[in-house]
Amino acid sequence: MIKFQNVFFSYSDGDSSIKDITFSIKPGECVVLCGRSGSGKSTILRTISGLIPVFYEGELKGKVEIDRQIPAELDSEERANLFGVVFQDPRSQFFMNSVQDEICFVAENIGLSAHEIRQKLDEIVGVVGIEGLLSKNIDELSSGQKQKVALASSLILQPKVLILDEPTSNLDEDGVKVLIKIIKKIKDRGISIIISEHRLEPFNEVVNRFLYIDRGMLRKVWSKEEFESLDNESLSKLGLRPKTINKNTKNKKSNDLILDIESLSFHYKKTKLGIDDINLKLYKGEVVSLLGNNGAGKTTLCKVISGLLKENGGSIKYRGKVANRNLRNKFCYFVMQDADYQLYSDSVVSEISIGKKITEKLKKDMVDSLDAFSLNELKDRHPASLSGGEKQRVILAAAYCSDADVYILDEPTSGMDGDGLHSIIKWVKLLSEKGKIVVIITHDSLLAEATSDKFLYLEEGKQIKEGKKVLYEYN
Amino acid sequence: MRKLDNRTYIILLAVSTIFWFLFNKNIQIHLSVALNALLLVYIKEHNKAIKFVITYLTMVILAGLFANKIALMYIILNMLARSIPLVMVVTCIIVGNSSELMLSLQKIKVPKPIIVMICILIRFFPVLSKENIAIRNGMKARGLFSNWKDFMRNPFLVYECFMVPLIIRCIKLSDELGATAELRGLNADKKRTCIYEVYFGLKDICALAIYGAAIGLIYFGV
Repeated sequence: MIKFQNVFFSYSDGDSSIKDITFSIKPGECVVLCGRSGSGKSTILRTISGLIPVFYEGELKGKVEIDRQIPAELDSEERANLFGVVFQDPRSQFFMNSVQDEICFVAENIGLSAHEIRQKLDEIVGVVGIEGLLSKNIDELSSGQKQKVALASSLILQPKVLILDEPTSNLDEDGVKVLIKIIKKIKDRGISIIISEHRLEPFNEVVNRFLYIDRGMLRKVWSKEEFESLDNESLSKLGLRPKTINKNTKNKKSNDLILDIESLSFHYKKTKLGIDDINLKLYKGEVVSLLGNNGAGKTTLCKVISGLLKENGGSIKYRGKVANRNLRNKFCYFVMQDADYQLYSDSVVSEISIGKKITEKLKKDMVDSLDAFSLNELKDRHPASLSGGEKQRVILAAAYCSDADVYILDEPTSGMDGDGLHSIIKWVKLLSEKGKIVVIITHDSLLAEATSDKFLYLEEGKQIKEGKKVLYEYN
Repeated sequence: MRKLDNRTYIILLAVSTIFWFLFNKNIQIHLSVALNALLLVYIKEHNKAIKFVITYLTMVILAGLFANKIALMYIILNMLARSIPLVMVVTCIIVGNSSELMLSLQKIKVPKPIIVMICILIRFFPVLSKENIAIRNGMKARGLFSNWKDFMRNPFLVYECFMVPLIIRCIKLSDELGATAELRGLNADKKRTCIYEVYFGLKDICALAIYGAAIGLIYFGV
């Protein structure tokens, strides 16, 4: 079905490439591509779908065949019929405003009749389980719902190949479980599925093979059983996420109470959703993980703490005094999930110092932070030219140089490989050692377990559970 | 109740644009704002109608205040206020269903690349406003320009801080959207279909006649 034979590709702009890749995937098989960020996984997906070399230019050698056709030679209609593709960020693949229109979009483009489209729509909506969403506006949906809509849109024509690029990066634990169920159903229909992913464990239920890609080459092929037998040390050496992680060695926490949150509540005017009656005490050097499904209120809580939103009730005391929004904005530093929104300058060095008065102390801090976050080699690069992980490092380095006492990290390991996970753990510890409070919004239980002293589980804006047991229940 | 056909809105836009050039009295612009507000109310966009009327009135009042003081502000505000009637008709098209719009444009033989461009633009407006909010939050989250004083002190730096991430996000989004278009049959040679029925009916003819009569009355009668 999918055949790669000695495939080489290099981008015309000299970006990463793939070398001598050979594999095949039969109908109804599910294969997961794994490896470090930048190893060439996405390049392989683009080659399968024919976007390479049609959309992304470069030199392609070797034989690529999908259902006995050469993807690069297909026209737009043939490509739409053969492939269903879901990108890492489904937001960027939506053309229409409503869910129903979005799902039908591809079928309308290739000229199917309205009757045929409606039949296909009914079928696929049932498979993916989004009957209740059809009339909704796409912008109103949660990340998990958007992922489902993207899946339905890519499956409506019943393609022979489904390509998923890091499908779990924006999903919570429940969302991942639902995704696996859908993949099972799709597999049973004889569709070949190829997935690029860093969180590998959840796919054990559906995967036939794992292909390990390293620096553009296919280094290893594991069956499900072989992958299960790999230990944490082997996985970490390969840059993959470990299955379990060493538990947190206590952070340098003191009894110095920095932040005292009492009965905090906030509700959005439009949706009336938000947070209710949150109580939390944070001490110097403490690391806390906020857990809970998408939409539980984790980010909202952190936006209120950091002064991006004004509370409706309750109080936040900073070093014993009630802190208003402006003050909170000064002692909090919020690192958003998408680093692109927080990079403004033309070099890494000026990014770290932007908006700050240049003093001897700042100069020293900058040297320390470039060292601590391994940015010395990148210091003159434009932040936009960096990879996702590198961008995050720049923001963390800027945070390191700030005078803030509370650091909030929103899903810092989303879309990160094993090396990225270990680096984040190291940097969180670094901040904690400096006496900073670190609040981590995460679905990543490995990160939470490795870094945190305190765990808070939110559900529908309410503080449901606390303590380490939350972590095991969450899993 | 079916809203009007998109072709009707396109004709209304053409008609109001012609008269917009012909109007030479302020009262004519006031009345065309009122007329287009009624059009928005008719298609059940009450909130938008109210917002446009308030925005228009605010601009007219502000322009009046600046009239003998800062000529440039007067000109800018007046120009913006005068463009509101046209924006109101464009809104009728934007708030509708993109799939129906694509079919309507196809029926009046608009070339496919232009249809695709219009629909992507319509999709981009709300996305851009969300991107703007995210960038603003991103700045605040890093403690940059957290109040208006900081904004006023460093206007060029603020502009740079807005534009750099916005441009980068737009390049990223358009790149991914372009790749998706290739995979979702947008460049297929087939004639595009639509799950909705689109037709130009009696309601559209009546709407055109009433709107035409009203705008004619505003021009010739005032």
